[in-house]
Amino acid sequence: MENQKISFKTRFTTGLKAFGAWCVAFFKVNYLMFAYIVAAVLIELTGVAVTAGKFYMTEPYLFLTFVAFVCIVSQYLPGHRSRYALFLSALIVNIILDLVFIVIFDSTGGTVFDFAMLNLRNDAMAIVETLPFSFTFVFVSAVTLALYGVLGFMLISRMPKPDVNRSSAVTTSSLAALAVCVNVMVSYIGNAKNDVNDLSYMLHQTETATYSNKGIVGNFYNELVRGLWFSEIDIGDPEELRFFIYDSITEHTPMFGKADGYNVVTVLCESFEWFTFLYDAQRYPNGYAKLPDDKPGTPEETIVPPTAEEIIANLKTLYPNLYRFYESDSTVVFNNSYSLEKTDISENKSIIGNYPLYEYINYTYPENTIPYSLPNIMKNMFGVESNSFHDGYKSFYNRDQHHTTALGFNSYTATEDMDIEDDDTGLGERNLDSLMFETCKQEMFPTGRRFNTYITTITQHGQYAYRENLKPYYDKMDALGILPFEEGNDEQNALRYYCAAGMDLDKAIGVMLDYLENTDYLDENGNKVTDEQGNPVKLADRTLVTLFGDHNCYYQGTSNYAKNIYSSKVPNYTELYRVPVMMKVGNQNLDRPIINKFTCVSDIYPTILDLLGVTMFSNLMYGTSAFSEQESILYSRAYGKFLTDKIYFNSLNTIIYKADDADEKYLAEIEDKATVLLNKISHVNRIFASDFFKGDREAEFYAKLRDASSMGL
Amino acid sequence: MKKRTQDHNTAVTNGAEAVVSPAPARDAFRDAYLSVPASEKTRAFTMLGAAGVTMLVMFLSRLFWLFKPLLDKIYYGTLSEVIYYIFLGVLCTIYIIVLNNYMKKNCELRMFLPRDKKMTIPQALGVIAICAAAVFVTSAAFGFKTKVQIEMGNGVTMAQALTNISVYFYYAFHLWLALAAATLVQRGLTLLLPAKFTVPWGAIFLVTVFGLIELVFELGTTDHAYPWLYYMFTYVYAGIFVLADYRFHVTYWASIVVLVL
Repeated sequence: MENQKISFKTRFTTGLKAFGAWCVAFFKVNYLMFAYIVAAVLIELTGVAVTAGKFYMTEPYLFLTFVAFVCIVSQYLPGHRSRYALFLSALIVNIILDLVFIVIFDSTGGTVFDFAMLNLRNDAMAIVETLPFSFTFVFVSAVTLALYGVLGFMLISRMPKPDVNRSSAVTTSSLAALAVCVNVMVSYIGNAKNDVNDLSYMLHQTETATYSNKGIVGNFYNELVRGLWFSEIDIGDPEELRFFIYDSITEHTPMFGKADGYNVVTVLCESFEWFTFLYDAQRYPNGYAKLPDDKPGTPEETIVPPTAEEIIANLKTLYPNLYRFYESDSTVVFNNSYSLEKTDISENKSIIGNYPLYEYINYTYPENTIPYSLPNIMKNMFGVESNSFHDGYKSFYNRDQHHTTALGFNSYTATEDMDIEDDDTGLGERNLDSLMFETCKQEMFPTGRRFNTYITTITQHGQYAYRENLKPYYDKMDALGILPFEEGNDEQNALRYYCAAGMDLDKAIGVMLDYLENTDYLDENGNKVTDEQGNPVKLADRTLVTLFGDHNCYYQGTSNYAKNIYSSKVPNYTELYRVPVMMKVGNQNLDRPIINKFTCVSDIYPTILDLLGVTMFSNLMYGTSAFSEQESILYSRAYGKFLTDKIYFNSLNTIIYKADDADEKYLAEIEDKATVLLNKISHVNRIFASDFFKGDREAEFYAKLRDASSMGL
Repeated sequence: MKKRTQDHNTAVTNGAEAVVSPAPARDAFRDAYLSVPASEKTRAFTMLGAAGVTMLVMFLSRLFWLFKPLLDKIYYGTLSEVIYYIFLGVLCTIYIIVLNNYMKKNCELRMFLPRDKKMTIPQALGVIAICAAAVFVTSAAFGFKTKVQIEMGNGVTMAQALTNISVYFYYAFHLWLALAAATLVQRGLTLLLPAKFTVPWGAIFLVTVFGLIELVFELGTTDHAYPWLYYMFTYVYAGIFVLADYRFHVTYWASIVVLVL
């Protein structure tokens, strides 16, 4: 017995020592592998830190399975040189992937990659003008790679030779199978737990729509898996969908039908912000309210800063037409309106009132039947022809197909079709909106027939750098001492270039307003129409004109700079996404109503329909009329965030910003609204995925729309 | 015979240690020089001459810019600089091939042959550290943006972007010739003035001859953005050259990283 006990102890101790020795030997043979693990994790965490601001991942499993897989594969390789090459290649791939997604994140104002973005790859390549490499990431990655590359190479000849025998190959294969299994399981569990047909889970999800969940590589891989195998939307019960669509109609507001029979002009103003032309020292401390930096000089040279009144007077000379529009008695000003989308999504939301999740409809559903699009309603309800104009490239965002097919425009006219000099050389210079308006005004605003015209501008698109074709505007600004060029102050100069581009938008609006006000309104027979006083009616009298900013000007952080908002911790964070919306209802004297309730880009379409006197099915619309009592909530397809003026969140578990006055009652209201919205999005997903209105259902829709309108009236 | 402690730049006579003498350093250099066999002197002077010709080729290549009016006729003049840099690349490549063959034939010198002796880990770490420090300091000066971002510019035209990229090739070609010349100077002067400790002739050459002349030409004949910065970089190149024990390839590629980033 005694001998056996001693023997066991000895065996245990010997075994432990042997295991320890094996570990040490394994470590010595695998310096390269352990160094690779450290380097890969450091690089990935740096990527997460520069995008999400956190030096950790909450769900690193997918990333770790990749690291494990590379390590396991290395164990098959017989020599250190081949292992070194494998690890170095894996690190380089890791860095390149991270860098690509960091650049996308930084250049798009914080977009996290999703599978549908693959559709945008050609457009993305067309607009890349700067590569905002994160210094921290580039520096840390480069040093890590250099250290690994040099030290690893030097260690190759100093490490014991690896022993790749039959038994270790079996172990390696088992581990490889285990890594693959874990990867598949994590991918499956992560994606299968969420039902793409019922999005209510999003309200309480743990995903933060940043890279701090799965990391950059993990998110990329997960999105590929999700997009390929877990994104199929089940049409479900068509009758349930049909019932949902026609379940409720919009309520009529006091402004219902105020623009009945009017022409419609909607101008999507690229990156348009209030601070383009407005002075507001509180909201835009770095805008026109900012005094130029102190320059050394004698006291006699000290310039007395202009007063607010003087600045505003100067702005009115620089932006006469925007002020003309903004201050008109006929204009409804959406003073508390927000947008957090990319141009194509804002554009669609303003034309169709909704947008599905997961896909970019310009690419995925360009031939769908969308009877509720404004052009289709105008055509089928009123026999009105709709046309779309854009001074960018024809094929960008696949508009040439999507606008004329799914959205129902009669034509889509882009730069290639306009008789203008194309300034867009691919990088830098942008076409002038004023030239587009001047060249196309007769087609845009025809007389003798009712029209619906949609215009997408481009001059205020980033990047904001010196442009030759804007030089006359720089000269005008300099003559008035407005936003002078400041050497070395990149943000200030970007704002200067942005506002100069806004002056061309102003000129374009001037062209439009002048033309509308000077052109006689002719009836269908070509006869002039007179008002009750016998004065000739002009086009402007019978045209509803909407100007709206598609998103804030996130390029080069210009919006952050002008508003001095760099963190969601500040008390007015959502101000970052507040953008202009203005609607001019003919020349009616409306006493310039100011809408101070929360509105967003989803509310534009319902408001236009409300003014036109069209009763719509409210479940097809994410927003509500600006004139109704209800307030909407915005869900950003592009950024995966919910937004109102008082709250900004990914899910109710991760509220990023909450205003001081957003109390429990408000949160409960928000939860209700978000639940309703997610239910609508779930149904819209099904509508798009199944092309629900194709065939007989299209005619059914118009019939029901007529019924609804007649009932509403 | 009494030994004395020698400074780095103290010459010795043909491998034997110098005698204690109150004579100034130049006497020691003269003694060292006199001790070198005539055939070695010929080799050394050939190398120094080749280094001088290399510098001449580099600086005279700027004369090609006189053809700018001719280049401006191509594609509205937007590619003039790019064409000039392409010419420079071709010229440098041809010259380096000729130089390498000439040195192989006349001086039994393989300029670009990697050394058998590997770098030590401290040397490698030193090179990485000096590169990282240079990149960090430069980026910090630009508000923590990499230099390449600043130089590529915002919202530039495609032609301008192409030109901006090609400027890096221009600097890379110049660095290629400069390091070749520095290598020749290092070997030539080490041969000509043997010393106990290697004097960093090549590094001194990079900073004083190449760097300064390049700075004058850059300021006087180009509108490149940061000539002073690029002159400061020659100190970094020199440091890498010394730390890498005058290895051409290590110095060149490490310097390129600094130059671009």
